[in-house]
Amino acid sequence: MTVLRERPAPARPAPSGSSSLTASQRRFGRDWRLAAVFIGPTLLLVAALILFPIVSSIFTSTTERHGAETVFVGLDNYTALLGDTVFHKGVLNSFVFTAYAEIFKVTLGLIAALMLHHMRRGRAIIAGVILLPWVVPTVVTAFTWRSLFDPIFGSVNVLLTDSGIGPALAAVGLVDRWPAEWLSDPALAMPAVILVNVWKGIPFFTVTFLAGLKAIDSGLYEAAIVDGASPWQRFKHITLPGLRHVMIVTVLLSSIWTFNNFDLIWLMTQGGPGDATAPYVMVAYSKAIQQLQLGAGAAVTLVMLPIIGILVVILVRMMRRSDLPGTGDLGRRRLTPAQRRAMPWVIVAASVLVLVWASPHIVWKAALVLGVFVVLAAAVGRVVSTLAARAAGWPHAWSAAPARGSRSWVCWASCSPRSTG
Amino acid sequence: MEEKTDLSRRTFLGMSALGVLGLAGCGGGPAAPQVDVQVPQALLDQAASLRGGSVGMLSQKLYAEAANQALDRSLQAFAQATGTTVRNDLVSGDAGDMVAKMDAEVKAGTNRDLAFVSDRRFVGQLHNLGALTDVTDVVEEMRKLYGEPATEATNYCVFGGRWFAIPYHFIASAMYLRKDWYQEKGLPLKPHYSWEELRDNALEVSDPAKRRFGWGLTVNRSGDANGFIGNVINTYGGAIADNTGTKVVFNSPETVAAVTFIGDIYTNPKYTPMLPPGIGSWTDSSNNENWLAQILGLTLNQFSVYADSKTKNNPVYANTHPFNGATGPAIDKPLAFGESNSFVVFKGAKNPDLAKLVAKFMVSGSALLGVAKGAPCLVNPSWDKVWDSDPYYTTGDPAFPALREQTRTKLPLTTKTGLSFPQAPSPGDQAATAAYLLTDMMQSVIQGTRPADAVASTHARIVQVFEQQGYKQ
Repeated sequence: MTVLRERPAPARPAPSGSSSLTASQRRFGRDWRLAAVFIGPTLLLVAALILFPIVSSIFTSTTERHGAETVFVGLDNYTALLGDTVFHKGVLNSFVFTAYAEIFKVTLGLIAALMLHHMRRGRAIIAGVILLPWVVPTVVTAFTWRSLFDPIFGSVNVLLTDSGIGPALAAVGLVDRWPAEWLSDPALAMPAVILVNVWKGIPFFTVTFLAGLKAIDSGLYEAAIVDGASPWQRFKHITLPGLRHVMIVTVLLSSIWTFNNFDLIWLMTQGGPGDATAPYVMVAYSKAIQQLQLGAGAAVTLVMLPIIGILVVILVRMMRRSDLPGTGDLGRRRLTPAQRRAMPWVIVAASVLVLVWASPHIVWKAALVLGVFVVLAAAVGRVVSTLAARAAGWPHAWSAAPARGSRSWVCWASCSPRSTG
Repeated sequence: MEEKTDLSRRTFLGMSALGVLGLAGCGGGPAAPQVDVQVPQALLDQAASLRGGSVGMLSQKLYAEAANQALDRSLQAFAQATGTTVRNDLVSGDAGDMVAKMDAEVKAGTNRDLAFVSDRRFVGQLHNLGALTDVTDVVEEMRKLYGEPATEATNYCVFGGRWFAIPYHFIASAMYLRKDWYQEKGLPLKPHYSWEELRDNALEVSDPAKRRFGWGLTVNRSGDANGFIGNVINTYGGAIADNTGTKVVFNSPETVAAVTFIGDIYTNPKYTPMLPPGIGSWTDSSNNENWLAQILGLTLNQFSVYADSKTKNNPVYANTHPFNGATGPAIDKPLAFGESNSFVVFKGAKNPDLAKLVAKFMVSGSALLGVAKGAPCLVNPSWDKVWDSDPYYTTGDPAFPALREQTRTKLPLTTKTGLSFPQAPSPGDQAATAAYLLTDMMQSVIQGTRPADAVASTHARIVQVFEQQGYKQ
């Protein structure tokens, strides 16, 4: 039984008129000197290692290098970005790259985590295989995938041709022609680098989701089964809400990393063909390092800082909220129930519209591929569940949770291992 | 008791590790050539007062590992003979950040004493940043010992009549074609061709069914593509900047004609059979890999690819016809004058005298010989008399005579449009090229933009880059 305790009332500040406190103690607190000693080294480090470089780069962004001289140009580097089509394309590419990568990583990571969560045998081996992309250095990942994608010597085209999948992809329009030129076709290059980023990023999502799944109270699943909830209802009303905070923090962290990703794309395409895969960080690198204009490069990154800043603020708020059990979502409390129900759909619709605008040639292909993965995962789960249920002599796989040590795959999305084990 | 015969995990891992070690032992690159490195007596005398001193050096990584090892051995031989310490670190010139890092070191006062870098690509930039010291005295002294340096060096290492880099070894410009494929089709092997000839020959020798692709030049973002596109534009009579390197003259009928020529190769279905699949995504290493895989009929590269095929006994070496390059409507000679990896002494060097002495030693015959043998035809003498210091430089490879001739190319080479090459080192030109404006322009043409429009919009972007460098247009 869960006992909910009320939050303790916040401590009241000392009466302002206390005669035993000095003016500075009244302002900063009774032990402010001790606090300053404790917090001082941290503040000093943060200032030296984070604030100083940021402030310095703000100054740098107002300069240009003319030969050996550095001259002050005010906001010229920023105003130049307004008409800089390379920068605009870079920002768009970063957005497209991040959005699709996150969608796929969340979906596939969740599938992998659910699968691992409910496996009884071979979990260590499967977990090892799933984690493998994470431990492979990026340079190895990039050059390996470059080789795999090579239209002449690469294995991807050979395997897809021999299996008949490649020509089928061309028949349904997922690729314009077969054999596909994955990295040299501007329409395919971005999906190809997204694929590699997803391949490399799935382990992070799997591990964090797995931790989240293990933290969900098994009693909730038991109660839901007793109440006759279907697997989908259990997944929707127990698993997903239980993973909410983990999901938000994981997606935000990964979004920040992906939005600033440089190495993988640089090693795979150098931003090409043309600027089809060049993210904004590559534009900054080109200006600052290759053209030796540190000011212009700093301006590119500083312009994008607010976007990263918003993600960081959301992340910090989420993390603090999850630190404080019982604190509700203050923003959502202001909404009516109907508005709360509609909000996720509005966000999804708006995101889809933005993606359609930003990448009309990718969006339907991504949706199709994602749909196929989800349907396949669900189908495999259902088949295995049915087989397991028959072996255990149950009347119907969906009717109850498995018992006697055998776990149903159909409830991989909606059960706790302890509830059924 | 039954004996356990199953393979335990520990045994399996142990055997796997042994297997990996065994395989590693079987592999390995070509052994570094052994050369008896001698320090000339004159240098030993000069080093007497510097005994106990030390210098730090950065070396632009050579594409042959054996050459890098030979370089280290030469430095160690010098250090032992003179009682000094030389610390050498390799840096990659292709990473794109070498100049920025070196400049940052100089500004922070933490720089090494000397480095050797490509004079065509980096010396002008480093001088422009104010990071180099005058080494005219060393060059004059070396002239007396070794004769004249490669002609290109007088353009890339001299600023305001003063030398800021000491030519070390010469790297030739070249293109390569498949001798056997040309001979099969009865096509002539010449010291140079026009771009149109090369295109038509490439189509003729192509046979995708046999994995023969006649054209191995990409226009994707890479140093090789920058070189290819720039060379075609120059031989057609166009250029990014005028002869002073300060005024943008990119948008011209000649440039449009060159871009139209290149664009046609990648968009006209007639030429599809000569383009290897995936050429649109090639980066700097791709043409080397495909050339060594023997599927290309033509490519443009430094002699690294030639050296690699020779030292690793790749059959393509025997079928390679290296030639000077291509001509265009504006000039009947290829714009081939090479470049030198040259020593620079940084401002703020702790031991500049010892740094200059190291440079003088490394240029000399025996110190260079091991490096040259490690990377045949990629590393060549920059100084005239060093070519005569060992029989290897005359008989070591059939390509040597042409390479030596390239060091003597009379410069400048002038086009019918009045442009002189090599042009004055231009920070604006360098920045525009590094920003991949040329390759992005070609991609837009491939995507359907009219060449004239693509050239006009690229001109506008180049003007922005020049103005950002302080050259108002």
